[in-house]
Amino acid sequence: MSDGEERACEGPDSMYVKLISSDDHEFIVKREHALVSGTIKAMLSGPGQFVENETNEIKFREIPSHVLSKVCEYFTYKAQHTNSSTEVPDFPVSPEITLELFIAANFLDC
Amino acid sequence: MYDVFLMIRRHKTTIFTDAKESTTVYDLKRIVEGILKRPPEEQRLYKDDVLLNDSQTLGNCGFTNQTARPQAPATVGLAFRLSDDSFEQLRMEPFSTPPELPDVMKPQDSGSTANEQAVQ
Repeated sequence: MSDGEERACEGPDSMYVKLISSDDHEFIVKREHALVSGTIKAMLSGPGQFVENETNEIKFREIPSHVLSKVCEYFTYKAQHTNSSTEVPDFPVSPEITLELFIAANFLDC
Repeated sequence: MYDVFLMIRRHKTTIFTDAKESTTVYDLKRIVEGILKRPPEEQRLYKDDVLLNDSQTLGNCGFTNQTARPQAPATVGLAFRLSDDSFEQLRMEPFSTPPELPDVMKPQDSGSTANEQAVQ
């Protein structure tokens, strides 16, 4: 995962990061939301080993857009409802994507 | 004031962001500007196929905390100005298609929670 292309992007303190699916859809999410994923957190804040730390872009060669979009929705959902005292609604997952979503969640550690 | 959760989409780009119902369309364009580096004058935002007015609030456009939730954000279409003073057509590339469900997984009843993802 450390062979991402060099692209012009904001510095390491940018508010947003870009997650790229296997079919080249680009998902731009708030950095703090993406850090919900342990894997992404390590890639973005690790000591210089990952080029993603510089470009703030991560290409996921095995996660297609219909799964990565759901992952992004989960980031927002988790960030919104963590430490919330209001009733937390269910996170909807349609059966067709369940298996792929599980594999992605396992890889992303979230 | 309620938060609304949005996906701003153009071609193969999707921006996940949130705003207030009182945020204006123009404010949203400024957020897009910060990310995609195009000024508001070069952006058009749409709800479905309806072009949105800069001075409207998101709430007035129909983005409410009921229709724009974190786990099911509302979609805002984005189009950029082309070099010859016209705007491109609104176009959003669809996401990939999930594989078809095997027969044994096809739902027999509704409301089953067996498919909920386990969260660590």
